[in-house]
Amino acid sequence: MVIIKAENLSKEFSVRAKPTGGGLRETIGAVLKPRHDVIMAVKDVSFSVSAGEAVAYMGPNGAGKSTTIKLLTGILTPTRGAVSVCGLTPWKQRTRLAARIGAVFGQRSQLLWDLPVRESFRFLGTMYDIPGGEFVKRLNFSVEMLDIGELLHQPVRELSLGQKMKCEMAAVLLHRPALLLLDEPTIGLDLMAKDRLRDTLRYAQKELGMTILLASHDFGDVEAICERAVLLVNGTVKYDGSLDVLRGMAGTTRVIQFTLASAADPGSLGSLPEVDAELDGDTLTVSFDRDRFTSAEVLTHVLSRFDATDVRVQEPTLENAIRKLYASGGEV
Amino acid sequence: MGVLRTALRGPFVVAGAHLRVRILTLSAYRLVLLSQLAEPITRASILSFLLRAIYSPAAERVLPVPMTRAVSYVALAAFLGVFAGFNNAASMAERVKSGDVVFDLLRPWSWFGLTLGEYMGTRLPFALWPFLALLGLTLGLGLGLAWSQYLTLLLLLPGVFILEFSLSFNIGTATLWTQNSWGLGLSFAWLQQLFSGLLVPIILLPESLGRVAYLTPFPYLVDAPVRAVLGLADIPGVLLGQAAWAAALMTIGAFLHLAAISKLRVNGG
Repeated sequence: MVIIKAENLSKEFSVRAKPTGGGLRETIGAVLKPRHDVIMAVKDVSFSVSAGEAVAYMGPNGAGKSTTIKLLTGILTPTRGAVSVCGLTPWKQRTRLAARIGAVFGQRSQLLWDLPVRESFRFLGTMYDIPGGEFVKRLNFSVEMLDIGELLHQPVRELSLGQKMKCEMAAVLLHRPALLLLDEPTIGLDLMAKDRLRDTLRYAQKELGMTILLASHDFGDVEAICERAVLLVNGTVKYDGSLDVLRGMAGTTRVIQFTLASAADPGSLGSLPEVDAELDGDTLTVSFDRDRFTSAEVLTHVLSRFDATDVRVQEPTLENAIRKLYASGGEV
Repeated sequence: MGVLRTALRGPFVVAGAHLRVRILTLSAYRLVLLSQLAEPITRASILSFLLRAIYSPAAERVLPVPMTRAVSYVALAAFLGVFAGFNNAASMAERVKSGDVVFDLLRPWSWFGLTLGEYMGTRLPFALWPFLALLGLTLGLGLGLAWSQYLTLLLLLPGVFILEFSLSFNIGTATLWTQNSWGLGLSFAWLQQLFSGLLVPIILLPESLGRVAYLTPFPYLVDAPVRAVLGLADIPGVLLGQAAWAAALMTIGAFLHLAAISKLRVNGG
C-alpha cells in the first residue's frame, strides 16, 4: 500500500525584493511600490513511499526538504502538482490527515514550555482524543523506550536539548500515527541520545508498523533507520533508490592508512601498479581500486616493505557518495 | 451527523486542554495573577477619581447622566475591558511568526475550532478575576448594582466573548498571510479603545463620532452592554447587535482563512 505519492509537486514563494540601491529614494520607493521575487522551493518532485518503509529524504541546506514535509502534512499548499498521503489530499483534508500522521521538527517544540513534561503529554492526549487507559499504556511504553521517566515532572524549559528531543519523540508517538515525518530529529544531540532515538524509530517502524520519512543531514541516522534514500538538490529529486546503490556511487576506491614505526620513502612501495601512496609524517595513506586488489594483497605488500604500528581501512562511505553528488549539483 | 458532532465538540475538547494548561501556567506565575486582579481595579479607580475630581460638585449639572451611573459605567467598562484585548490574535500571530503554527495545523481539529477552543480555554480563567475585581469595586466604590443588573451583565457576557473572539480570529487569521500582527493589532486596538467606550464613554464623545462608533462592532464589546446593564439601552437590541456583528465577522473570517492559508509561509525545519 502506498502511503505517500507525490507527483510533480512544486511550491513557489513570493518574497519581497530588497531595494537595489541604498538611497532614501529607493527605500521609499520599495515601501510605496514593493517588488516581489518568486523563489522555487520545490520543483516537480515525484516519489512514492510504501507502508512500512523507512525513507531518508536528503539534500543540502535550502534544497526543499522541510518545504516538502510541510506540503505532505498539509501545512503548506502546493503551487502545482498532486500529492496523496494516507489516501488523503493533505491541504484539502488536513484535519483528517492530522490524526494519522506525526511530525517532529528538530528546531521547533510542541511541548508546553513552562509546564512539566507530563502536562504536554496530557494536553496532546486530550487533543488527539486518546482514551485514558490507552493513553497511560502508550505513555508508559514511551517512558521506558526513551528513558524519560525522570523528566516527566520537570518543566520543559529546564530540559537539555537531548532530553527535550526524546520527549518530542514520545509526544509524537502518543497517537500512534501511521506515518512519521521527521525533520532533523537528532540535530545537536549527543551519541547516547541519538542512539535512543534511533532505537525508538527502528522499533516504531518494525514493531508498530509506522512508515518513516526522515529528512536529515546525519548519515548515522540515515544508515541506522532507512533502507532507501530520496536525494533533493535545488528543489529537484536527483536520486531515488536504495542506500547500497547510493553508497556505491562513492566509487570503488578503498583507502588503507598505516602508522609507520620509522621514517620511510613511499617510492620504495614499488611493484603494485595503480596504487597511490602518500606519506604525511609517519602516516602512509595507500588508495587503491577494490575491484582490482583485495585489502589482504595490499596489506601483505605494504607490510613486507615497512614496519607499521597501526592500520586503518576506510571503505567508500555514504557520506562520500552524497558529498560527490552535492558537488556535482546532483548529477548522477 | 458525526462530522457536525465532532465540529461542535472540538472547541470544548480543545478548550478543556487549554484551560488546564492556562490554570497551571498561571499558578506558576503568581505575579501575573495578582496583576490581572489589580489592573481593572486600578484602572476603574483612577478613572472614577478623575471623574469625581473634574465634575464634582457640578457633576450632576454637567454630566449627561447621573454621577452614580457615570461611575458605574467606568467600573463596568473596566470590567469588560479585560475581555477585550485581542490577546489571542497576538498569540496566534506570534505562533505564525515563529513558525510554531505548524503544530496548530497538525492537530485533528479545524483552525476555527482550535482557535475558538484556545480562546475559551485561555480566556475563561481571566473571567474569575474581573468578577472579583467588580465585587471589590462594588463594595469599595459603592456601585450598588442590583441583582437584575448583574444578571443582565451575565446575559450579555457571552456576546462580548464571541464578538471579541470573532475580531481576534480575523486579525489572527490575517497574520497567516501578513506574518505580522503588529500593525493590524495596533490599529484595531486603537479603534477598539476609542469606539468601544473603553477610553471614554461613547456618550461623552462628540455626537458625530458616537454615531460612527455604532457603525462598527466595537461598541457591542463595552458601551452597549454597559448601557444595557445601566438601563440606558434595550437588552434584545444589544444581543441582536452582538449576534449580527459576530455572524458577519465570522463569515469574513472564514473567507479570510480560505484565502490566507494557501499563502502561509513557514521557513526552516
